[in-house]
Amino acid sequence: MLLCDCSKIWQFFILFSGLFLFTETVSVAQTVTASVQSIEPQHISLRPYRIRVDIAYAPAARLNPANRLQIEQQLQQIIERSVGEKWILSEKTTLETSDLTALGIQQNHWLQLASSEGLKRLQAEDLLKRYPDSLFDKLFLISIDPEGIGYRVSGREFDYLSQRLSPLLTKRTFEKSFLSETIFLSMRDLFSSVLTIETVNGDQVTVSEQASQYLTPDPTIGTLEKNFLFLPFFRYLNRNREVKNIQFIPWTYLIMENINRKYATCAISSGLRGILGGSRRRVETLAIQIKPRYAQTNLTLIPRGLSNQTSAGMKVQLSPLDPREVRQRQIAAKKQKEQTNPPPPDSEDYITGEYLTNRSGAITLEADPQHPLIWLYVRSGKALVANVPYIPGIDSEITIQIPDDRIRLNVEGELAVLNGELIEAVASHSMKLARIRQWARNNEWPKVDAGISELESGISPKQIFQDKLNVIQVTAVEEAQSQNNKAAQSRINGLCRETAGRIDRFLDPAGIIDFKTEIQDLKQLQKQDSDDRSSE
Amino acid sequence: MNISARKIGFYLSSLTLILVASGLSTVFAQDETKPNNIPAKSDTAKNETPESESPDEEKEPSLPRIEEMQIPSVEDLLKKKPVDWIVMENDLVLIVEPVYPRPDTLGQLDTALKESYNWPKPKSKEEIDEQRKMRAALNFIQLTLVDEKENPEYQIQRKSVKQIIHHEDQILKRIDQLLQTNQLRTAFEMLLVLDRKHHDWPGFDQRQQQLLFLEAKDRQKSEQYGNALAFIEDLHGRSPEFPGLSRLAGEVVDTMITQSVQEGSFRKAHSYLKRLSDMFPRQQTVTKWKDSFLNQSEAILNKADQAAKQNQFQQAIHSAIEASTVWPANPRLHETLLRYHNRYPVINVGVIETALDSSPYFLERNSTRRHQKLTQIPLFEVSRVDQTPQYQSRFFEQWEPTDLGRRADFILRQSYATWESHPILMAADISQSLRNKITPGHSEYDERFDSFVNSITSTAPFTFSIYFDRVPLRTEWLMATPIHATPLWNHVSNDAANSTAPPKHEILVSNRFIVDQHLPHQVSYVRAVPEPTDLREYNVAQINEIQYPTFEKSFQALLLGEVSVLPFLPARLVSFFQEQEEFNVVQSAIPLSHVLQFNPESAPLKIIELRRALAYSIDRQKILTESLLHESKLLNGRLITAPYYTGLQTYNQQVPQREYNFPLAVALAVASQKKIGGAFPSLQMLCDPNPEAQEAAQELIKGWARIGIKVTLIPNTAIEAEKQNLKWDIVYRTVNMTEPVMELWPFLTVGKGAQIASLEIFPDWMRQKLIELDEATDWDSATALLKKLHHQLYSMAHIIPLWEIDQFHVFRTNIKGYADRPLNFYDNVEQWITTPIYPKIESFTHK
Repeated sequence: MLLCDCSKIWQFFILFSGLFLFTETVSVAQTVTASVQSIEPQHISLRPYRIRVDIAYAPAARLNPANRLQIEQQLQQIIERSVGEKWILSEKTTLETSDLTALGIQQNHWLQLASSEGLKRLQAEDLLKRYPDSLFDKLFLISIDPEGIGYRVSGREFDYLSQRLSPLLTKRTFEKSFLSETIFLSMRDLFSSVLTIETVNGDQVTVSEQASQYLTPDPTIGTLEKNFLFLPFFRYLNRNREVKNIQFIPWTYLIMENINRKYATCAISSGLRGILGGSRRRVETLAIQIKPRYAQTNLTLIPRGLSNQTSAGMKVQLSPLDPREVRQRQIAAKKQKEQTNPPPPDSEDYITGEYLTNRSGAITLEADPQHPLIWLYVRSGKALVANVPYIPGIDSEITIQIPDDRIRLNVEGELAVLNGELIEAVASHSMKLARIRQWARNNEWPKVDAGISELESGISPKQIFQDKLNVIQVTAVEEAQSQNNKAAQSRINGLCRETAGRIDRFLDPAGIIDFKTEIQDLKQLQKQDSDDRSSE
Repeated sequence: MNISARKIGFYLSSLTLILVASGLSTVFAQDETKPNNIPAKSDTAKNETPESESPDEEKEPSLPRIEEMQIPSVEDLLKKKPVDWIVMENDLVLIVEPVYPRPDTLGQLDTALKESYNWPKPKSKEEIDEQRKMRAALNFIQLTLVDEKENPEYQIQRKSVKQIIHHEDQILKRIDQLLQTNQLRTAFEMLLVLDRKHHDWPGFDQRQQQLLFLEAKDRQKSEQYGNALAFIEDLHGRSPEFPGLSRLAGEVVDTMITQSVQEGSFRKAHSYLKRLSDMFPRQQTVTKWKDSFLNQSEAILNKADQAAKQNQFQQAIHSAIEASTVWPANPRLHETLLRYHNRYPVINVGVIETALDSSPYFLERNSTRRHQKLTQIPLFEVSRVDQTPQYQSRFFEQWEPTDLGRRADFILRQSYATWESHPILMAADISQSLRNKITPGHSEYDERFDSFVNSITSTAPFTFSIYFDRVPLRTEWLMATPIHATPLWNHVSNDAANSTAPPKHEILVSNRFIVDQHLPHQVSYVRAVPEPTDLREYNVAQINEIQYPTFEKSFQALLLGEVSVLPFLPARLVSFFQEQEEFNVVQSAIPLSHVLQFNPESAPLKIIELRRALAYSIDRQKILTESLLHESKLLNGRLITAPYYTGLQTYNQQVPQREYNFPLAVALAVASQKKIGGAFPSLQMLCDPNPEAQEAAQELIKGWARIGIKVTLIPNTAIEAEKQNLKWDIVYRTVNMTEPVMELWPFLTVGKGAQIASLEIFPDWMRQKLIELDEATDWDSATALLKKLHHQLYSMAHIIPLWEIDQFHVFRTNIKGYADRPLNFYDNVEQWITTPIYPKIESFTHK
């Protein structure tokens, strides 16, 4: 009775103290009605992670209260011993807290299925509703259920600042006494550091990790390392410093490069230009560490806007290089080719994988721990319709929007046919010239004259091809204009310009004039020869 | 020289002596002047002899005696001058140049002398003298001595000559010796020499016959019985009564028949027996084997009767056919064959290859199309093509699209006609099989089907519904698939007959006929579900596809009655069969399109100039008219620009034909060679086993060789089929598409099906067009897309459509019930009715 009363008093106290003490920091997320706190004014590197651990024991696990108590005590000891001050499990305040807001290790009585399946079904919104006024930064949801002769320990991490719920992580142990240690290992693997982005300088950002000033006794826990990956997000605040909205920045990742105690620098890898640059009022820019948790990710291409274009059969290339590096390589290769004229190098040697989307427009990307971050190049014919970085394994499903490229692609097909015909016309033309040359060498001048007049009399092949090209170009451009697709218009014009250049080069009428001069010279030469012979 | 001169002198003196000794009063030279000279010569001889001859020489024999004469060797006979031997009454021999008249000089002189007494009576003294002189001349033989250089010509009185052994006789004697020593080849050559020297020389025929006989014996000894029989027949033609010939023929043929029977080749045995009986009808061997064959066939017929009593009609007809093979002349055969054939009709089909043969040609061909049609019934099948394909179903009583095409409800038939040969199909069979097609990872998973179908539910034993994700352009085409599942009906049926006999083969619900037996060169198909036992008339129960190495052999088999149908008939032979009363020629509803396709993985053929060079270098019109149609029926073939029937609505008639242009082909080949950066690599071509395709392929290769591109044809042999990673660059395909909107994609991917992954080989624009075509929801846009794609594919030379040739099948008139214009050869096969063909006993021929 006494305990019950005490807890109620604590709850009441915390509620009021929260209202009074943190009036400035309580905010509401857009999607959830629950209040969400903004960041405290204290520098993030000095602010330890407030940790709450909810452990759900499956009844079938047959762990009695004594066992549970033992597990929790041992877990607390392990955390304190291994993580130290970086994680705080109890609030140093005199105010009472309720079970719902308290830090530390708690038993989870609300999870409907006290198992990995129950954890898997959880959504971030569910947690925000359940813990509207929480004090923790990280909530670890753990379940213990039996598996064979041992136990399955499953866990998920909920980060309060990003309101992100991590994927499920499962570990197994066969010994009851190892449960607390297994839980701790799960927490260690689930834990994702949070950074604030201090300054942005081009492709580099300076960041500060939460609680970075606190060193952990076990350096393998919660310590940043080079090449750690982070997902940046914005927290939009209102005038009262309440969180209005949280937005993860799509196709943008931070890669840890240098670390010191308080600050660290990261490289930005993003498919969007200057997304982190510029100053924003009442916007907190943070990043949360991400790790590939899934073996693979299903990436689905979807048409942008109201387009009904199929995204099946589209080519998606994977590369470790970003577009800038690719461009540099291509330019270098081109220069090298122009200078030394070596055999053309494989311009796509930077491509490490190539996929065709299936009938649903999806591909499956395998997670690669060695090279977690890759660049996706979505191509439609010769055009690059999307290029973004991605870390396969961080989501099970993801979609990417692609613009409608059908008109341009049709033009590409029609130009391929036209180019084929052009090759034939050029070959045929060369053949005719060769035949006339042969006649000229054999002194068959009537035939030569007939041949040349035949060449001149017909409609100029150049004109024919230009007309055909115009038809293709005008039709396609009009169609693109009707769809207000300026990108397509520009690309179509580019493609047609290229073909027009080819027509000019190969079917230049000046060629016939030169040829006639050549034949005339040959004729004179032969005439001189015959005159010389007759005079002799 | 001296010896020779002396010998000549000696011979002359001897001759004089002989003439004197033999009491001849005169020896005259041939001409008028000779009589004066001869005595002079004799005088000279007389005068000179005592001076020239020494006492030792007198002791020498004057002339050789006939017993001493050696038969000249083969070499002497062939190389030395021919000489005759004149054997005197005293057995001395004069060696002279060939005397005339010959042969039988003495006989001819005697006859002439006898006839001289019948001369007309002389009217004057001059005539009397003349006749006397002429008659006197007949008493003399003109001769020229060999090795006598001066005046070698003499005449000798007929009376003093006992015998003349001519040069030809000497050859004959040598031949006799050669035959005795079994030097048959030399004897044969000498006979040839003799025949050339003097045709019909007396004794020549005997030697020749003797030689043939000995040759036959020799071949018999060396077990070359075929040759031995040929010699025997030859000899029989010359001398039927040649001693020992009948016995030898009997021995040889007996051995040959025994061997043929052991091989099971009765037709061969009959052929040998007939050859023997033609020569010696009463020969013991003939009787023996006739009895043996008759007994054997009787025994087999008895077996057939036994099998029929036990209702094993397949065994019965098999035995009856076997009996007809063993001895077609069995008088019981006709009736037995008719009885069992009516109960269990069997049709033999002559084919050039069967679907179960291993071949490196991995794509669909005539045999696989036939096999597929014969063994599987899809839920929907094309019944006719009239610009667009029209579908029918044997399984559905009703089907109806609902919910704006998003759902289709199907009601299955619950009863079938007796002639139908497939098991009863239930909704659960279909739904299970179709579910497998939309289950990723399942062996029957079909990506394209999955993209259309969301789910399948069976609402009652004979009704089911399909829910679509995408409305298909034609539900019938999507459902034109066989159901690969064992029939559930057997588990729910109360029919005792079904449960008693364990099935010999596993039968699937879509099975029409199943493979009963696969022998070398023969595949037998039987009905999946046999007809009931109490019918008045039975439809075909078994189809035997008998393989022949060439079309000519199958053609021969059809004429001989070994087979009743030929599924393949070259267009050039159509008129021949149309004129025959015992055959019907049936034209297929759609022609067979011949197309060249390139391996997308072949590096050189990625070069568009090379593909175009290949296209321009072949004179399609010439090959079609001269090689394939033989200028006889030009209407039976047409040039095409797409790999499907020109009569289809989707065929773009606006695409112009690519004309043969050799100079352009050369120019393009040179351009492509620059891109390759060296000489053209030798290209490998796979070709459909269809004889027309094979013939055309050879012509194409010649055309390509003219522009410097070497292409080798990969032989369609089992050895090539066993090779791993068979490399090919070009494939010559034959196709008969009825629904190009749906079939073009799997066609272009060369056996990789309609999967997105298979489109990787194409440029993006073409890939997207094919997907767009696949996803088209209305006919107009699908047709427009296909026509555009047709133009682009042709223009880019991704494929080289060649021509389409009408297909013809030949049926003997004993078969009824086939379709007038079948789409596939085995259309309507369950309703084919046949009567037996009785073997023509008189036309036993060697196979």
